[in-house]
Amino acid sequence: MTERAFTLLELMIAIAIGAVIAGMVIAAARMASDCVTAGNRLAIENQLIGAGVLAACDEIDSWKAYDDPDGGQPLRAMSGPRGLPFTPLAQTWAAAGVAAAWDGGESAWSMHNPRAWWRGCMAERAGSDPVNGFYGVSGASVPIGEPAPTYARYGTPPQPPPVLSGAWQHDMVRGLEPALGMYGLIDYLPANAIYGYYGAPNAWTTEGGVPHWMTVGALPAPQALYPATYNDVFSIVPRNPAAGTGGPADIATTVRARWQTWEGGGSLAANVRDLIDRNEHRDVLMPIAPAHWPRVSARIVRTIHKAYFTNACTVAWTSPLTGATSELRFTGFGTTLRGARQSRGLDGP
Amino acid sequence: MSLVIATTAVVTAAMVFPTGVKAQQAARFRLYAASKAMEICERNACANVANPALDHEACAPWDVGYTYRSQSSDLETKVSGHRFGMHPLPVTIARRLDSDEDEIQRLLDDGGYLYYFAATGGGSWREDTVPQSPPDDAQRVIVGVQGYAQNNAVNAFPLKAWPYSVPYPSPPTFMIHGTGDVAGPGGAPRGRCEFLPSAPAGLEAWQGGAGVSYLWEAVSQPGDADLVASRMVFTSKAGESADGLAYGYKPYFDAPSAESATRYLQAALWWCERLGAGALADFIAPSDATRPIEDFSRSSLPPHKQVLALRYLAHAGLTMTRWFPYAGGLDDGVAIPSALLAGQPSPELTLTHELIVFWHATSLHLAHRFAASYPYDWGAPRPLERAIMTDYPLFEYDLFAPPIGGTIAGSTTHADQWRLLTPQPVKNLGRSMSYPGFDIDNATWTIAGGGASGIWSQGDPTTGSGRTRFSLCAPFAASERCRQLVFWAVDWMSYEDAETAPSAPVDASKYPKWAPIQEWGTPWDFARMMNAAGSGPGWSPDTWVDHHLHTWRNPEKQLLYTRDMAGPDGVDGTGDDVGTGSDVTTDMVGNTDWSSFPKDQGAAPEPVRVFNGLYGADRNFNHRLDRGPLPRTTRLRAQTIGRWNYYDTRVHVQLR
Repeated sequence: MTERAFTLLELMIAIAIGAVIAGMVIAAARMASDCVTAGNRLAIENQLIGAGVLAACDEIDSWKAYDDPDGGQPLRAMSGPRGLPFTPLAQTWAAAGVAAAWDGGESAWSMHNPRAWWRGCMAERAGSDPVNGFYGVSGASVPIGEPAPTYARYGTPPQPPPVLSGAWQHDMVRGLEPALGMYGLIDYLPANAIYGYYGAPNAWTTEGGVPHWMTVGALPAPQALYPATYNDVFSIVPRNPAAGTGGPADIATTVRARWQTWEGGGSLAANVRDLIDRNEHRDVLMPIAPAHWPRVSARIVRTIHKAYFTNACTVAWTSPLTGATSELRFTGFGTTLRGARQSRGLDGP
Repeated sequence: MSLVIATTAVVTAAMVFPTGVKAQQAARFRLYAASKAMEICERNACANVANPALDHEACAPWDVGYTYRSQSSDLETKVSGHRFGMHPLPVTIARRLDSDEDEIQRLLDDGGYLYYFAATGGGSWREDTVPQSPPDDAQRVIVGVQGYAQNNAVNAFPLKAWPYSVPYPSPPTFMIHGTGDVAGPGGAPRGRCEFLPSAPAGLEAWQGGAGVSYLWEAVSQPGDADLVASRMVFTSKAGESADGLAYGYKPYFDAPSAESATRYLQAALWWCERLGAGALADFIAPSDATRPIEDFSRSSLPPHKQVLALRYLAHAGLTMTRWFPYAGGLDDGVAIPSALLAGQPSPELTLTHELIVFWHATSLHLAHRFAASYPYDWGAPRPLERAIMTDYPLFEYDLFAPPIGGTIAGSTTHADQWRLLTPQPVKNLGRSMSYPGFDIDNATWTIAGGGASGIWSQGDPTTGSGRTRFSLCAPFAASERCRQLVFWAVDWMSYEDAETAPSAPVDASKYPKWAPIQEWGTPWDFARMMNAAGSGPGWSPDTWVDHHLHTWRNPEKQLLYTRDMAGPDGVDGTGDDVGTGSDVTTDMVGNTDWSSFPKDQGAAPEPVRVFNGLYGADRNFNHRLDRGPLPRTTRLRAQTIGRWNYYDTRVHVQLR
């Protein structure tokens, strides 16, 4: 009787095949594990980045970082006699001492409506001799119901009849900056508005009282939007501003600040850095999360520069493994400040 | 059998599991693409691409940039600039990319480009103020634009950049071409007034003897004696006034006083009377000064002359408030006697505060009504204080009429351009401010006039007008305005030459060019007009302020290398190359200050190479020279990840 058994060769082949199979299975398992790990990591990252993008898009539409109906609303306060970007118009308009209420209807600013016309002198600059005459007397600066300004050399002329008056346009421009700040002023006025208005003459104006420019140190002449924002950037501060490099953030001051980015010479990167520091809203998504999840943040800064309203969004994520940070940067369509205010009922009935 | 089963299982697992990773990667790219699609459309719709440093007028349509493609309202031409975040992918790299149905190669074959996203971001910031940022992962996404561009509106009339805007009220428009210090030997001016062979009429020497100043209104309408006579409102000449005194705005501005202001007003009144005896009586002595005159029915004069007359009169009247007080002065009235100028008396009147206010209001009413009622009557400038879209006339090229042709200024090179269509004829086209000696509508120019060689499209046989082919105001279906953004994912930055490949070919119209000009009596040649890097005598720097020129220059301008990274021998891989990872901060064009401009400007060979991006660019903006592991012989598969339709406008618009 012959005993059946594996030969040594057969055994070695069987072991080799088994080893190969085991190796393949282990390799496949490892690859599958790697794929699952990578897939999971990517999926988590994608969801968090997607959430970051959505958060940014939601924010540029909702303005909740600036005025949260369910949370902090410091931008609805008054800062002395001036309002902030979300201060109700009725509250601040009265403080500004402007007789006419804000009238923002589209038809109100139609160019066929004479009351919407700018009636000043474009050639005047602060401190210049009013050789072109006192344009204020021709209806450029006499609010209806208020006494006319007194000009040192001309005296106190009577109010022009309403049909000749530019008081409405004057009141709207005059009232908006103290009501909302520069960003709000530009957001609310029509695109072809002239920034500057006539008022009582003072040390910063011509003898005729122009321009009563609405921000400290800005161009001392009536300006249209593009030249007014060519070298200057106006921004808007979120309700929880970060401290800027130029000093501690102060909402009221920052709302009315401008940042210069003079073209053609000198590096003003520090100005831009300061602007971003003070005006960027930073939203860290899921601050409490598993350690192996990436850290994701959404950042938004809103600016007006070169007549361009920009909502610049950045979604950044940092790998928990390598510490490397990547970013997705984009600009997006969003609601205007005016739209955000109207949705909150801040402009009155 | 077990071996087969095990192998099948392993192979299947090996094939299946990575698909999950790929799906997640695709999801990531779709996220990038969605964000960037929004960004592209947002910038196309909202960004301001004003070019205040450009020449806007010339004597031929091919000599002015407004007719170039770089000024079209197409999405890719507007957004693909050094400041708006989208750059053409080098074609040498784009040609290595495969895609479904070979869409990428077909797009390139049709003359299109692929674009990558600038790591500098965008948003009109000056580039050197933008802080360096972490890598932008979205650079692995590229985009192309499918669908043909349309016959867009021409931004402005290339021979006269209407609308001209002036403040209302104001004195006549004083123009200076060059200043006295740029006069060359013998006093020959440097400017454009005398560029043309025939000397323009109406040149004066008000700014110091160089003879290159003039009043635009006085020369604006060839053959109109009334407008020529409006020079008196600006200044009288010796011997023109009976009392020997100087009248008009300039003498008042030179020596402001009550007397000179009065003489300015007398000159304005004189011109009103010069337009027609009593023609403006209702304006000069209104029956009711408490209401402005709001239309043109109170005078037989053409509307544009009524507008100009009240513009000057109101300004002259207002200057009087600087010198005469209200109480005891303009309250009761100041007597303005008649003045005898050029043998004609000016009307005398009693000037009151009420009359000044009336003139001012009437001036505004007439100017606004004129601009709103006569958008194609260019007889009077538009009010600067009410700039509005309807001030801008509509023009489009007539692609169905033979083009006009001529010679590019300063060269012997022939050029052609399409003729123009308007929805209605331009009235009082007149002369331009840049070339006041050039009669656009008359035959002093080889391609001028409304005839067979003119710039206007030729007559339609049925209507006598080419305007039947004007389509900018025609109804259209949404599909006619639809183009598509197509996004692909591909790791093109892994190529060894990702940063050393030359820029995509730059459209020649991206290079700003001076309009015809002369210097010291000699017209510039073509090279001089193209050479923006020099520091010319008199005007220094006579360079393009290229941070204004958002849609001009190589779109990669900010990133361009200023020297060959292949080393002195110009050949990659020979050992003398600039090392991978080297700091190239000082080897980029950037936009740091005026001194950097010559790096890519001018006609010399080296700036031309840099302008065209022959040395490549720091495309991920990390200020390091990067070379990927992939040889340039390798082809990559680009994965289609998304398509977005967008509305393609035919005119420039800006939303806010």
